[in-house]
Amino acid sequence: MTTDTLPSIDWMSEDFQTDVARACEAIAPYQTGSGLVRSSRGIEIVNYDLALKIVRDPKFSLAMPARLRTIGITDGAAAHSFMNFLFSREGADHLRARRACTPWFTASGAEKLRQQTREWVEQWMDENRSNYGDLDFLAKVSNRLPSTLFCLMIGAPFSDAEFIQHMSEELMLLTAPPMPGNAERIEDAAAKTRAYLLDQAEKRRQDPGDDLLSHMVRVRDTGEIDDDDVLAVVFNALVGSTDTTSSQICLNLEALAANPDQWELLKKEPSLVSNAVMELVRYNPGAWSVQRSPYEPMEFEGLYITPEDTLFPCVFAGNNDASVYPDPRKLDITRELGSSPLNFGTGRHGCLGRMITLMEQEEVLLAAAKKWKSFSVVDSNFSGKMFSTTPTSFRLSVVPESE
Amino acid sequence: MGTRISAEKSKCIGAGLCTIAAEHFDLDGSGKVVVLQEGDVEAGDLSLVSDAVSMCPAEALHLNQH
Repeated sequence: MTTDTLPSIDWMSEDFQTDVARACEAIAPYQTGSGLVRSSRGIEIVNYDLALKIVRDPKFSLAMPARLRTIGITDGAAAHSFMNFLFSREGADHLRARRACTPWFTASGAEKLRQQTREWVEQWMDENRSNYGDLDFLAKVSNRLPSTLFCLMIGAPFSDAEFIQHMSEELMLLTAPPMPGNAERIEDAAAKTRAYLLDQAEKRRQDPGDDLLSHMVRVRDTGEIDDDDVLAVVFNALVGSTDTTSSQICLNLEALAANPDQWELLKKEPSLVSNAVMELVRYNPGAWSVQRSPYEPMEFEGLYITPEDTLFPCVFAGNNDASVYPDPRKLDITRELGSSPLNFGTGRHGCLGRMITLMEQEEVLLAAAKKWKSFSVVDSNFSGKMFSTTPTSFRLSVVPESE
Repeated sequence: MGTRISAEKSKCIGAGLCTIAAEHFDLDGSGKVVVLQEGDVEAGDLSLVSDAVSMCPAEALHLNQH
């Protein structure tokens, strides 16, 4: 079998540039059979089982060289930083860096941040009560929360949150459809981010605290890891810190606004929030697809593929695969998920910030369920469809609960 | 004295980081952890198994000395 024999889709068509619902409808006919289709960007993996298989498989990389090449980045701060990325590493280099930072990214590590997260979200919602008629939720909460939390995690001043948010957004352009000017923006952001993180690391070395960066610097000073290992973790964490979580927070609310029965159920039973978040990320994922390339030429599901090939495990498709999640376009916050949605990957390169982003999403929903009687979406715009989406606007009209 | 793996399957979220120790951990059909070997972990495997256990984001894995 060759890629020419695969059915094809146009990832830039309206079918795949509108919303997840329309994309799921368009991809459904291809989810049985081989689960492989081709497009102008590469090979699309469109059923759950095959997507999971490839994401886990150590014969596949996260296609960083291909991503950089597609955007036109060959050297400089961006190439160095992304090739040094935690997710670009394998074997001992990967383990050494991931082992050093693990305590911050476990369930209990995330729990330590929950109380502060809750206080911030509730405070910001209360501060903006007078704007509830037209609330810029993106600026006031969903961009603000993950970036401020990242500052807390690395011991940086909270006033750096806007810089963190902007850098996250710019660096995530690596996962966006390639556009003119993106290479320059990514290079600029990579240079600034690298300089910022090295400066923050030196500040933590001079005045250590009880934060991730202080810890990484302490371990670096023992010789167990080096500066590149420290950056591999914190640069990776910064890139994934804001844009991804902000997008998912907004998408979760958008889905609940469109499914008022589920919103009412969550208000009535807030203890459902953990399951609700997992169902919401399944139903309306912020990351529509991820990327993989084989390390060596190989046969994959009857196809001969090489490191020049880019494969796109489609999260939106796998998460809405009816053979795994019956009636997938029904939002049901009580759904027994069984198989884990594909958003966070699985295996050695599973999402570093998984437990933290889930906690953030839970706290936003808990605060909204507590403080809002109802809400509707005034304006909603996301760029990056078929890749990793970025919210460009998200405004709500909120009816508060009476005080 | 030996070291054994125990897994709290109810806590497992299917992150699969443990599969870096591929001789000892896999995920089953529903994406939950499977401990592949019973008995004591061999001394040569202990470092990698220890990493796999500590890296579990759900903290579902434990090493128990007996």
